[in-house]
Amino acid sequence: MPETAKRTFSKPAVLAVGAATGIVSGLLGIGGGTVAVFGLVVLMHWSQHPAHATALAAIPPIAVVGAVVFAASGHIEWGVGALLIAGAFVGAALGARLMHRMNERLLRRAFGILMLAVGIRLLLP
Amino acid sequence: MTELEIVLTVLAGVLTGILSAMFGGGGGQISIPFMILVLGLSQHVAEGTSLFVIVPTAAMGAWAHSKRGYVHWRPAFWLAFAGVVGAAAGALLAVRTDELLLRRFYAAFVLYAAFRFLRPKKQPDTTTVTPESSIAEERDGSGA
Repeated sequence: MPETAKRTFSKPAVLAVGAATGIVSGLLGIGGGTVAVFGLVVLMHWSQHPAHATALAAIPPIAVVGAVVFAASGHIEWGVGALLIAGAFVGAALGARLMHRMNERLLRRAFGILMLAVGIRLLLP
Repeated sequence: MTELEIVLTVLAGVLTGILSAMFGGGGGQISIPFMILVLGLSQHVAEGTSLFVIVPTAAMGAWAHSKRGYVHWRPAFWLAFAGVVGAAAGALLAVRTDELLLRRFYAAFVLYAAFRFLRPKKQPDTTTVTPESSIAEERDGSGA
């Protein structure tokens, strides 16, 4: 794993990024992993690979909070969710392998393109 | 659900898992439009189901990454700790905020992130060093 000189693990910064991730997740009903990646890479100068992996590790407990809120109001289609999860388990193993094979530059670009696509989709009616 | 819908849903799940594990998130970008456009679920149910899917999907992706040593567990724990508190606060606030406005703000953030990640990184070694600046550096010792 490439280490950069400026990379920081400062706890207040991690807590701030985590809080921002959670607030966005809770407000918008999304996982929020991309907010955590942005914070780790842009604000804390992590390289892409550990930022993506560490953000992902933090997501399950955060997403549970939102999922419970939606479940309480009956807004989860469990059967559809189970089918998606069945596929997603295979996909996650593939995705982790793909990330491992990408270099820093390519992964950074690809993340940027994903953000661009997300931004455009959010602005569509 | 028809057999075709079942197959398509599992395939959408595969794509969701790939995106999520590759980018540390973003799986909802596939699953939410799929559930709305193909399965005809409401935006709200699609969001709730997506969150439910994200929990084991992210855990699976993180586990796969951790085998290759990419996960820093201590920062991940504190991210999650602050994140859970933030998510609870966010969910409470969400009831009394204008969702369209929130989405616009989030879109602005995401587009700014795209700009930050897509612009060429400044390389210190490609900056032109003029004779004057290098002499100045030698003089004050910073060029050593």
